[in-house]
Amino acid sequence: MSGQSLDPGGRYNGVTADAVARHASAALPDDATLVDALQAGDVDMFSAVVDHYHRSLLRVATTWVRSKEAAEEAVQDTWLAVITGLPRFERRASFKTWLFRILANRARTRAVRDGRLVPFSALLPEGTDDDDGPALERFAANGQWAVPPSAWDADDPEAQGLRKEVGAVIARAVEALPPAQRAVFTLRDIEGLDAADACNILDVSETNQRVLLHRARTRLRAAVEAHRTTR
Amino acid sequence: MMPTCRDVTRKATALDEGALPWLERMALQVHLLMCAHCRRYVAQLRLVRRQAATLPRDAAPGELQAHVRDWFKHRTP
Repeated sequence: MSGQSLDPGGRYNGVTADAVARHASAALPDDATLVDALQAGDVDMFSAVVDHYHRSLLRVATTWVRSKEAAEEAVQDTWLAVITGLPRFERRASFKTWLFRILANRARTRAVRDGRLVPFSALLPEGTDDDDGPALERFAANGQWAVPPSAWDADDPEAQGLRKEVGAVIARAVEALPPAQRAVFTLRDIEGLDAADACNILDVSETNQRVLLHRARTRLRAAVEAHRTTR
Repeated sequence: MMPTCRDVTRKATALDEGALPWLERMALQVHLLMCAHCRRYVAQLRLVRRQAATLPRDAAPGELQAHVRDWFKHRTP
């Protein structure tokens, strides 16, 4: 297949593979452009994709396997499977959805082989009411706020400084989430997959997925609040 | 019955996901119109969500990159 989106300057929709490769945080081009480049054999774009998804793949792999080493091996297996499958990738799903489906399969397979498969259903905690929102003590008996949330930035909620600070707290706190919450949060809020794809990848019902997502967001908001209270 | 502030904090994601029945959704939205504390709480949850989408991405380890680049270059078309 030809890389039809590659312009004469070696750019994909204005983004060079080199530029993407230099920064793991750089946004990847749109799906069609990305898959065109990969199927055309652009190794720098492939490197950029590996960097871009590395942390999220590891986070989701640890849903099924417990050790860091096993997760790293599952991620490595995933890239090998992606390389093998790329020529036949028909774009019925987005590249990202396809990638995380492969990861889920590889991580489960590795966990079964190691005799350590943790079924996703076993990671669904009973949970307490405090997992679903601020603690009971913060509300009066009639359910209204007794200790309401404080403003994070009263003058400018979109301030650059606040956004950076929230991002830094989230980056740390997300690693401390329970595995099932971490997996759902990674797929939904970090990677931007829709609920149906996340449910499919994790083999979880839509209701349980939503509960896990809500608990993850609640914990992370609480982490930011705690950080701003104690600084 | 009107939802309480505590109800809003418990149902904020279900509200954003469009997973609530019409009547319950309307009741929560009316509550949010009237309650600045709950508006702030929901806005903070949404800020967490937005910031998560822009988290810096760590580069993959050099050894993994070397392996996959090699596999990619020698892949069978």
